[in-house]
Amino acid sequence: MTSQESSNRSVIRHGFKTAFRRNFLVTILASILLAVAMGIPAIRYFMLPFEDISKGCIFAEENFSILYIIGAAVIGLIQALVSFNFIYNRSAVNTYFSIGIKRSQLFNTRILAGAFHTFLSILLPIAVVTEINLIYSTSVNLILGHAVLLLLGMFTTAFIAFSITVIICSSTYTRVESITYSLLANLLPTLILTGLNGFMSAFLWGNTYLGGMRWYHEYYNSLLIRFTEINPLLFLKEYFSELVVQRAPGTDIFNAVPMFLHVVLMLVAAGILIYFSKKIFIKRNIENTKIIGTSNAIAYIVISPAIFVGFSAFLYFTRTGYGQIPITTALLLGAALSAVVFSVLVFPLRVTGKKILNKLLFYLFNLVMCFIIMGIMVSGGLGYVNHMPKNENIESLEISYRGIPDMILTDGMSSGTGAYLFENNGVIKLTNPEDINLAMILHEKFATQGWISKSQKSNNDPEETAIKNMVQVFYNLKNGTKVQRLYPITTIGLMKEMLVLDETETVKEFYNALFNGNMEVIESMMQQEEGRMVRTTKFPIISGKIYIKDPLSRTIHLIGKSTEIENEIKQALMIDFAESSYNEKYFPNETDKYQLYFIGNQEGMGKDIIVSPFTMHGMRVTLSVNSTFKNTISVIEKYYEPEQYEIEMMYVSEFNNPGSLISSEDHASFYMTRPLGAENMQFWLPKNHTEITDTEEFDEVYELTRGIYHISDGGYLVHVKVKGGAYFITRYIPRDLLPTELKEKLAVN
Amino acid sequence: MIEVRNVTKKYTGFTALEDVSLTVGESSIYGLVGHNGAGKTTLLKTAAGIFKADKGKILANGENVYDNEELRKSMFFVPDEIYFLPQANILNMEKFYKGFFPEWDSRIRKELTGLFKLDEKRHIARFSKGMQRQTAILLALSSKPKYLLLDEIFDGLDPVIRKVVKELMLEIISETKASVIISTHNIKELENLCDHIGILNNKNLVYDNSTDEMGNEKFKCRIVFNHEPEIEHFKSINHRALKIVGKVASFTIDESSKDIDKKLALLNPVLIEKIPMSLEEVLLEEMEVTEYDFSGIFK
Repeated sequence: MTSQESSNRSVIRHGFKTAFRRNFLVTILASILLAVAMGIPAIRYFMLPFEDISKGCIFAEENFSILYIIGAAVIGLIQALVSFNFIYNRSAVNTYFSIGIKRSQLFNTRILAGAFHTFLSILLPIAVVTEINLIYSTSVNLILGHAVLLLLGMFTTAFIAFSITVIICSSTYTRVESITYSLLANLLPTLILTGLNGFMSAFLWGNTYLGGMRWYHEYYNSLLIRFTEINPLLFLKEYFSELVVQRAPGTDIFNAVPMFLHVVLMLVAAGILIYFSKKIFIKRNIENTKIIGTSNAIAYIVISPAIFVGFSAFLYFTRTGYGQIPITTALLLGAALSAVVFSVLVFPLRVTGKKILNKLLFYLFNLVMCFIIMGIMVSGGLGYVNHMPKNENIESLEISYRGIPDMILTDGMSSGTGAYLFENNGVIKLTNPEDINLAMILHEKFATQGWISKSQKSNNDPEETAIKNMVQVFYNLKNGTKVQRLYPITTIGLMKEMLVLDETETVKEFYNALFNGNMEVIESMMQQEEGRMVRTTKFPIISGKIYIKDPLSRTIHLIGKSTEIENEIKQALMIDFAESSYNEKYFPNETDKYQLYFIGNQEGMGKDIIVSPFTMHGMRVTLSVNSTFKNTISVIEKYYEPEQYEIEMMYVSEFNNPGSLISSEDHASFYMTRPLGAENMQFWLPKNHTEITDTEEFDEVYELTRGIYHISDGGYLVHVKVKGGAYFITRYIPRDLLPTELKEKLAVN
Repeated sequence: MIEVRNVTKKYTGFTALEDVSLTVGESSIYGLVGHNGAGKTTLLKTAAGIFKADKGKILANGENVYDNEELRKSMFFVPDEIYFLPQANILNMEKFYKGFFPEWDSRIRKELTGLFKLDEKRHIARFSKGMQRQTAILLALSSKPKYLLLDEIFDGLDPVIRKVVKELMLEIISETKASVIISTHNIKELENLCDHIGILNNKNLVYDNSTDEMGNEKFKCRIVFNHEPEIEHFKSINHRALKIVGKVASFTIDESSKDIDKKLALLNPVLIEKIPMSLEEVLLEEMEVTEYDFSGIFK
């Protein structure tokens, strides 16, 4: 080794030591804060009397994973700022850049010292929490394994924030710029994705990233969450919860391989950033030190996404979800907010220099970019909106199923107001080419429909009434890729058209399996996480008791008195389901004859039960039987003698709000499924109603009542009270069937 | 030896130095004089390798100084804005610099600390401006530099310390054969110290000469006539700052002007007085000092 090399090494070592001393305070403070934030929840969990984690490990509060991840990133950011703090001090710069150390060496020593401190800031708290785990838990290997992986993950998060901040430090000349731009740069992917998501949720018809509109409860559908793996700030999120809590060894073993590969990729990215930071640092114009507004290139890169997010912020509140604002208002508010963001950043930081015109041009440029993005999305997203895969490339197609409620009412599941038309009954997976073709015809209609207003309503054609209903169409292609579309708003007409899916082999197979009690087939056909229909129907139909009710009664009677009778009824239903068209099922030409109730195993149930309007049975399925179900009626009448009812009172009211049937905006669907106490009828009756006083008309009018799907075209509600009954049953009459004199009577009212 | 070759340095929006060339020999002190903002600090920072010249280069011992760590192990730059580590005392600063300067001499540091009567354990931030300047000088000299760049080094020093510092400068160049550049706008500080003077004015080096030759080159002339002379009489002489008051004319001339004595004699004067110009007079003349009119400002 030459003396020059030796001298060089000695200088670099000295430079490293000098740099290393600078970050100690930050490391100590960060370690204490993180140790407390991780340690206290860990101790608390171990002390819980009702949970035994003595063989597991807990490193942090799993519900606050995002806070720990952001905490790690903030540590990296601050360590970088402190490491390169000297470059914003003119006198320090004069010293450091004139002493016997090359710029590259100076940079290296700072990076090494900063990275080491970043590592220490993560290592120390994890060491503390590891020790806590070792005190309370006996699974040493599990604890150490998770500790190492957690250290690796959190350090990578911190180090990538460190490297992003370093490139900003190398490019800026004042502290205020370095802090502001570092924060924005670390948020860059988050800002771009959030901004883009805002535009997509308002303008790109059919895109699946609508979660932004329902940020608080369906955020997994947002563009930001979809791309966490490429977001340096959030990539650890998908592993963190599993990593910090393991309640017992051997259960849900954490697979470290994907995380390890992810970490390697992130570290490579950080390495690339540091490589470019070094290049920039070496060419740094020291004479600009402490002069604000000399880092325009970096300013444009980090400020533009912030303006973009400002512009898109109100677009989240326009279409669906919490949408309350008209698009034009949202755009104007967005322009105002983006101008505020722009002013707050650009004026104090003197971006583009002192000339107001240049600043104005910068803002206009951003505004134009926003409008270009908007234009692209409105005009079909460069073919995105109308893109449909070729049939020969499709492996399977998953589409929302919107049938059932008339046939099998999923009553009272959540709102307590009864079943809704076009209920979200899950997703069916189609593999048969003919079924796929049928679904693609529907998809094309959704694609060409485009955005419609929530308030769209047509008195001439009720089918044009808009309803909010999330319809998904997901293609799984043979090459392993997916094409996914989500339609959050549509018309009643299109929803009715979706009922054609009952003609697919998949739905037919489903009903066969349902009435045959073949759980395996059901499970394989329906997506569990989406399959509300499966959850709500399979248990009552497969293993529940079968009751029957006359449409005008409020008492249900046990008809399936033996397994044989139950099987006979189900077999008859299976045949009727298979033989009837979807039009016959959903739009029968006659009124219901019976209503079958499938009630899940509930102990203490008697033979006869009064159906309460406020009872919510998660394990109850109701099925209306009309004359289409010949086989079923034949079996029913073998074991059940219908009761005879004489109508005592009858009210008719107009119903013009079919869109409300998929929401709880009024009680229409409630009427259709529940008997209402006579004493409360004045409360339930719509204002515009009329009473039929001619008793001879009762039966005639009652025969005009139809299944609930007819109500989608608007029409009339009929409230019927039978003699001896202290309740009203509500039925529905399609618009065209009500006698003219009754229509006129209602018009007068 | 430090060689500044045709250096141009531009900042955003203006040029600080344009085509500046000068040479500082071994065991030599170069005094760099100029207005505030003339470019002295820029030249020193470029010479220290902090700034990169847009054109030209600065060599020390034949090597480019920019980002040359080997060269800078024997080069010390004392800037106008002195930097000390946060919360540091002289001992901390010695520890800091010692690692970067292989020739560091702790004995010199101790002796100079004693000479300046500074408390080596006291926080430098608590020192007066003059004491901080002394600290910077003692640290610079302790590194035993071959190249010493001093920016406004005498600012804030009392006359006694100034004298001591000047003597230390002379001492170090004789011991280490150092090349020293001292910049100042106070030309009196350079008298009896520098062996070379350069004047920066309006981004150019307008004057560059040894102090020895300077005394023989620049003269003030006072000529007395027996009549009132006209300006045209002096056409043959390459004069500057000509003033005629009655029968007396005064102006400055360069000794290098050809046959100056003969030309002056041809004017038939009654009396010729030729006095060598002082450093300050040369500076004022070269810098073409504007005469300000203050009358009425405070009325």
